[in-house]
Amino acid sequence: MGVLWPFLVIGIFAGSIYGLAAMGVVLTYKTAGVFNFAYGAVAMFCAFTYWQLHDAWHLTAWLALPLLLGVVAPLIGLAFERLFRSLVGTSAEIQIVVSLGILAVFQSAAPILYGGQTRSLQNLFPLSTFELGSRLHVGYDQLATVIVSLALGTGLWLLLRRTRFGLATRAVVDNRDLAAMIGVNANAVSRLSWVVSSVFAALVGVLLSPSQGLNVYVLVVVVIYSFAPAVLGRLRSLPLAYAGALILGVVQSVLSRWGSSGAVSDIEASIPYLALFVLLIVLGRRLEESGSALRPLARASATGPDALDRSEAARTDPRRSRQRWRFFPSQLGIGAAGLLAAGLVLPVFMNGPHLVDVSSGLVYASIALTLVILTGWAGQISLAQFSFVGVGAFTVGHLAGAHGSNFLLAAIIGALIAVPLGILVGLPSLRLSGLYLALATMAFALLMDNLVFVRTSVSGGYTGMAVARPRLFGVSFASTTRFYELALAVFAVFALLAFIARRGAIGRRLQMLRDSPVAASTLGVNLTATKLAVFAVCGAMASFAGALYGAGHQTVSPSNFAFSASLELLLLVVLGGRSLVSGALIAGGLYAVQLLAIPASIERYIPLTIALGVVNMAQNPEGTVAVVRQQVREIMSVLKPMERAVERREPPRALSRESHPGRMPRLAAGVGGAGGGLGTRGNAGS
Amino acid sequence: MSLGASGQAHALEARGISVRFGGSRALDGVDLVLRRGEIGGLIGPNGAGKTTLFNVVTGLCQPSSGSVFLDGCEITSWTPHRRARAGMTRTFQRLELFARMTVQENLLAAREASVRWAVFGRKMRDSQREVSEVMEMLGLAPLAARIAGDLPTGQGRLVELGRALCSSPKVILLDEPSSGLDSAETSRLGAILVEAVANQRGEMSALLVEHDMSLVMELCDSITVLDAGKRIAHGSPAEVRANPAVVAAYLGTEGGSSPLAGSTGMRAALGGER
Ligand SMILES: Nc1ncnc2c1ncn2[C@@H]1O[C@H](COP(=O)(O)OP(=O)(O)OP(=O)(O)O)[C@@H](O)[C@H]1O
Ligand SMILES: [Mg+2]
Repeated sequence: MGVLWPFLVIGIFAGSIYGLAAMGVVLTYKTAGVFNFAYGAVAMFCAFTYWQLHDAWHLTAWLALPLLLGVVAPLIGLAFERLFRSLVGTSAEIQIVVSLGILAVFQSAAPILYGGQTRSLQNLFPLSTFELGSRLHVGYDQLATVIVSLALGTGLWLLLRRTRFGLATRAVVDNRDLAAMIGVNANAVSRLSWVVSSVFAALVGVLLSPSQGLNVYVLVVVVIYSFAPAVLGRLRSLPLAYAGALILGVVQSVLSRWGSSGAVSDIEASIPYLALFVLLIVLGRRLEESGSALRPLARASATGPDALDRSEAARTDPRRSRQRWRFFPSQLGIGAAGLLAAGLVLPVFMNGPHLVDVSSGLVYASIALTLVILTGWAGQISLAQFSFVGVGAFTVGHLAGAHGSNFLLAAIIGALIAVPLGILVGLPSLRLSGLYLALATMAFALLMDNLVFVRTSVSGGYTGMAVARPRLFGVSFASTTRFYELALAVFAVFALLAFIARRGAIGRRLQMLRDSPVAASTLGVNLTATKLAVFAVCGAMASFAGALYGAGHQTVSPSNFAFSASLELLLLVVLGGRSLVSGALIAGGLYAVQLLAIPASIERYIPLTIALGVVNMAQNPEGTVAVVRQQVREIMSVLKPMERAVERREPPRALSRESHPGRMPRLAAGVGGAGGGLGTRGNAGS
Repeated sequence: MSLGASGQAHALEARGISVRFGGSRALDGVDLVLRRGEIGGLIGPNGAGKTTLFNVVTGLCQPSSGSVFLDGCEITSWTPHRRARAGMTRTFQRLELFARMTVQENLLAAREASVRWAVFGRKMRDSQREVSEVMEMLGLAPLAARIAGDLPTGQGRLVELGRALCSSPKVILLDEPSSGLDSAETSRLGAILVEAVANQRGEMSALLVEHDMSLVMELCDSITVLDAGKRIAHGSPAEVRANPAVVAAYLGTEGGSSPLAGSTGMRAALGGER
């Protein structure tokens, strides 16, 4: 036992920092209803800022630290508050996407501001040690960290217990409007909590970086450790979150006694994610209930569209949506013609490496399509889609043979392996939606990453594994052009299938799940079966596309399928348009653009541009496609002959009503006539 | 199992239903009976527990005690979709439309969810015909291609009603279908409901939660009154109207600061102004 004491000390030290992070995450969820996925990124950004102030500009710690904690961190907090205040009342999905987008903004802005290399940050506190009992050395930095974190935690707890702030917080959580009526300034409450939360994040960054190294990725991942304790406190209890964080730190540290590499260390790294996944499944419904107190009326809107979605949809011309009922919709024709033309023309203009990048883009578009189906249509957020891609890629790596002669069989086997995994990811969705589902899929992705893909026997370890280009039915697709044609064909088949499904009963079934699971169940839809099926099918499709992904890249390593890859996929799909097949194609295009050789001076701004685009576009399920469509429509309306241009100006509702006055039955006409008064949703009695 | 006059089981029956939310009792030993082919009413002041009772009956909320029977068969532990497939469907007080689908898709989706293999061949054509008929009946045909979430509340309620009718229900539960409709629309809604129930010749029953008392008194064959989670009266419209406990429950809430939606209607109905 004596040997364990040092590990205990380290564990408590680490746990204290996780505790700060967990409380920071809980605080904004409690008061503003926002789960901040970008928390680790804020910590990272603040640590870089501190490095800049202290190490690069040589300010003393006495100046740099107050600047960081008193100015920079609060400003970041206020910016968050502003952004999320504008999103109050929108769906959980939108808020998740926005906070993931901000995560990407910080991750891509930090290298631009502070340079991309890994920095080393000096310790805030002296590193010398003192002796506790016999032979147990404790660092002053460790002691100071524990004290600071305990003091801040207690302070925050007292603040919430003993002051008006705490009372106001509870009032705002119970009912924002009611709180406003009894004189609580809801904005001030959430502003204060955002500021406190982001000051905590800055501290976490400054305290963790000396031991973890300071770069764009590490802190983001380490802070995810604190999500499990936060969920243990059901995202509302600070003491539980803190206690959970300490336990987590100690368990991790004690485990590390048995090895710093191999299976034990993999498990040690995975424990926080495993804990998160298990907690989410075990706590299940209870989490949803405590969450629903926050938004008492949000059952429907948690997964359904928000007002902005609707106003966007309102702008589409009614005559347009009527076209949905033609057997061979014009969009399909245009899409098919475009793809065919691109397929024939591109290889003529493009050669070698560029065509390889375009092929990769097409494969990526196929992968993106599975996320469009899962998230855009069925409303199930997934941050684990690239784990399935990895399953497919590694399976063909093992089974396809050096010349790709067994490629098709291997790809099908990969897809079959993905089915039970898809069901496993789908399990949390039976009891969770929105935020908790996103967290569970994130935990799953990180687990696949840390427990499965790292195994040398699975993936060939960090050097990766070679994947042969396929040979199908005696034809080799090894040449660049051939592989390009294959990628195009697979995307075309995926897109066609998705398109047909979308317009038929399957598409309607998925959208029922997204728009109102409650109504779907009372109309006879088996939610369990439908959700598991859609997770399994999308997983299998992603795995199949993953086989091509492997063949396209020719070598794959675990880093290709890390959580960050799934995150990037979600962001690109949101940017492209998460409810559209063409959105997936745009996501693929954006991916290809990143691969194409671009002058380095511009290249580093691309991720930032994409991330900012996501934050902007998060509210629009049709993403870039909607923007383009709108532009085209506006240009067309300018180009039209006079009198028709005038007609187009009328709002669509008026148009549809007045265009068939005679055919309007009495009831509908009556409703229309009183339209002004009835326009508001949710009325007396609700 | 108590039986109706004809010796058949009741279309819907709930016995001794209790539901707690935290410390408060939303429902406390409530009984409810809906006979075959009738339109029943469920009334009571705001917060009486009407919607909660609907949630228990449709399986969205598990009661802490009590049982629910559909056609004489105990369904208390069934999932909502199993109840739906057995012929029970509902509308929602807070609209639960498939907001990003068109009106026609809303109805078609409901039809497909309730009829097995509705997606193929003849059954698919049947589905589309059925959906068109229901839209015609409700006056939704001109709105078929509109996105449901864009519609004003009144039309949204009609879409929910249409959706419920498309799933060929035996028991249809309507939660305040007339709120958001004007008086002409409300009376047309009543006519549609009576017609729909009559068309099924005793195969379909409806239960109506309503604040519009004139509508309830006019449509319903029997009425159950809830107040603060308890059943305080049950009987024909005339009996209920004459019941002093009902009058007290409604007038007692009048002094409250928030004016009740429809309470004027109730007072008018109770006071015999109709
Ligand atoms: N999910 C819930 N959690 C906590 N309390 C609830 C919940 N749902 C309902 N209640 C409470 O239960 C009681 C009954 O509510 P219910 O919605 O059933 O009333 P109602 O009769 O439908 O009222 P209204 O006429 O306003 O629709 C109310 O006091 C309400 O606050
Ligand atoms: Mg109600």
